[in-house]
Amino acid sequence: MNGNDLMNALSGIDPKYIDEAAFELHESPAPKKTSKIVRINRFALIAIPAAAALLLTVSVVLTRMHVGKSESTSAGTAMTDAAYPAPEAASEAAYDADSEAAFDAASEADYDMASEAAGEDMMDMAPGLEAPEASKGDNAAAAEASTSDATGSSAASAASETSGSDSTLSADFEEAELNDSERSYESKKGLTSPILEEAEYEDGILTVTVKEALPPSAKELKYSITAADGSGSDTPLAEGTLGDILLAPDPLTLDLTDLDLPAGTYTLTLGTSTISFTCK
Amino acid sequence: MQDHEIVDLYWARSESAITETNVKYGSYCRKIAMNIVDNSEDSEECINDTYLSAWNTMPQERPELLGSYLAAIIRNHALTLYRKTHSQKRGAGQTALALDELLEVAGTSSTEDMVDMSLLSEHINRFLSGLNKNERIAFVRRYFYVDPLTDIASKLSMSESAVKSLLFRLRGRFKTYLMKEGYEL
Repeated sequence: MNGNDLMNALSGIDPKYIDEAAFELHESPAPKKTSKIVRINRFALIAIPAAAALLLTVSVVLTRMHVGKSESTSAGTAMTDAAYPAPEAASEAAYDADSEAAFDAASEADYDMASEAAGEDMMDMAPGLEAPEASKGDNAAAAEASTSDATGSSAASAASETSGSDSTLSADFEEAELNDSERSYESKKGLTSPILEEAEYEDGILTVTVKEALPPSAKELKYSITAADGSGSDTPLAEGTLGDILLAPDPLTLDLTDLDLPAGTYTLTLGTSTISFTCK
Repeated sequence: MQDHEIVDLYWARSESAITETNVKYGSYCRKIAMNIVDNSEDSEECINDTYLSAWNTMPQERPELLGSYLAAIIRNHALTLYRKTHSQKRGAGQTALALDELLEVAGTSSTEDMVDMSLLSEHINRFLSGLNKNERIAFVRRYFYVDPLTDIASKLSMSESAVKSLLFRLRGRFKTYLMKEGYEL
């Protein structure tokens, strides 16, 4: 037997083996490369959403870290302020970090408990600040103030509103920070906005009842007078320092004769305090 | 058209049987012939001889797999033509390479030993039945269809060297099998 014999004998093999190997008549038997591509595609289907989710998570974490860092920085700045020490900074940090806890407490329809929880958290979050005893009262006041918008409505819903919206909270914080900075500036100069109780206008003279007698430095306080035109927007009429129009500090008497006010309703702003009066 | 319908045409002695065969299996037969004779004119001659053989044998036979039946016929014609044109010297095509590889199995003894071809085919079938599908396809493509190694590698998604080593191992197993069956190699 030789190679030619084998070659001839191979012509007699079973037709099913000839047909099995007939690539020209059938599909290729081992499409391995295709399966590799499918495997790569499957990998991409899993990997791309996973990477996107990871990226999103990292960005959210970094954003939160950045916000927390800036808040802690502002808290530190506030701590150095003589007039507004630890309690304000503590309240900011505690309010932010534990706003969820406050929300949970508030959603249990107990406004007082929510305020209390927030106040406690404030102190818990700032253990190193060692706020003075008196400042605990300020904490409670701050907690109350942050939710005081809800006065007159259902306590639970008001607390939920106050605690439930981050944007509302952040807006409140920004406003509080601005007021704090103003007060801080005035305090440094020894200026404190008086608490205005009642105002009467007659013949160009405005007499204002204040809760406490004004100190001599009150002449440096800024004032402004605006007219309420009924459209909801106030028209500024005059502004300057209190000394410009001050006739007498006790009772607080202001000379507005130069303005020659017509009949209407006006608003006096002194520092951060405001009061309305009517000109007949 | 289905195989049995074409076979019916042969049995009905309809000339359209050749046309339908050429439509369905023309390129398949041409590929086999080209692998062996490596010449387009010779391969066309092989195809015509194959259709004539099918026309002459069909009333007696009724193949279930018409493609395989035609493949075996054209392979025989192509090998005969190859041997006729390469009687003086060995060729350099795939057929010569495949024959050289089969010589590793069967040796170079003369054909005077009177080998029973049908029995040898039976043994080859048994050997093939013991292989896995990929091994069997590689063996049949190389030694029946006389495919180049690159084509087999491409179709089986393997490297050419992997196909080469696979065929080397298969030839070794084939030789061992034939010796076990009593062939003197």
